[in-house]
Amino acid sequence: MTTRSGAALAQATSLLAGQTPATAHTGLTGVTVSWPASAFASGAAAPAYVVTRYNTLTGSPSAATGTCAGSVAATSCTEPSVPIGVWRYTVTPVDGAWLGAESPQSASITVV
Amino acid sequence: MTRRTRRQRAAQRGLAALVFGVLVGAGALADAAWTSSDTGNAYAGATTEAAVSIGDASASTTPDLYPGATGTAYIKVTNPNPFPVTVVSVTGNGAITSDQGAACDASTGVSFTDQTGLSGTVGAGATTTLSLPGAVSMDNSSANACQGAVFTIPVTVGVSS
Repeated sequence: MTTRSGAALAQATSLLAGQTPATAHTGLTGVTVSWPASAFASGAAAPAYVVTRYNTLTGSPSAATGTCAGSVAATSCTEPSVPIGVWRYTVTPVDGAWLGAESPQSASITVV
Repeated sequence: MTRRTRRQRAAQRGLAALVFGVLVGAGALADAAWTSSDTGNAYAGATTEAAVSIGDASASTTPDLYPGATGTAYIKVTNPNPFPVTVVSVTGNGAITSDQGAACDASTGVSFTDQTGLSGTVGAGATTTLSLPGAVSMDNSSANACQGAVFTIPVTVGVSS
């Protein structure tokens, strides 16, 4: 046997963008957020999402709470106590340190 | 004129026989060695075998790596010889880099699993891109900048002819 040095190659895929979420009231101040699954360009499903809530008046983002907090390994979650205001939501696919593009904002939902 | 004794002539005849025997023996060995190279199993002993070369397989890669996944490595082998060769092993031998620069190279999250027991045939005078499914994996330390990256994995390729 002889040996030769060289290089093998491999290639990474990429995370596609999140898709626009839908929202619904849950109880007096709760909001349920749901969204279509996202994927990698290779076709594999995105393993998790980060949910962000935006104040429609200021445009400021807030970290979601409840089951929407942190990295969500599902395609729906619930914030049980959303502050009074008018809000929009986005979802961002994540995998480790990889981030997909943030989804468009949902329709606004008002919590009173 | 030198006059040799009977003992000297006998010794001279013995030396001549010894030299003849050595020459005949050496010739037989040389002939046996040539036969081995010329007709041996799949040219294994041929001393004129040209080295295979490892080329750029970028035209063949498939983007299948992501954090938590295994993927396929590709290696392009050119065999200049008039007989086939077999790639029997591919082992990693250096740091893995990417085409995305430092932002990805600082933490590719990619590792290569040495491959042995392979049987990748490269035909006579042919160039073949061999795929090694499951040879690479990516963990969650992969930087966001590594999305879509092509990774270069230094390897040593074992070739049998």
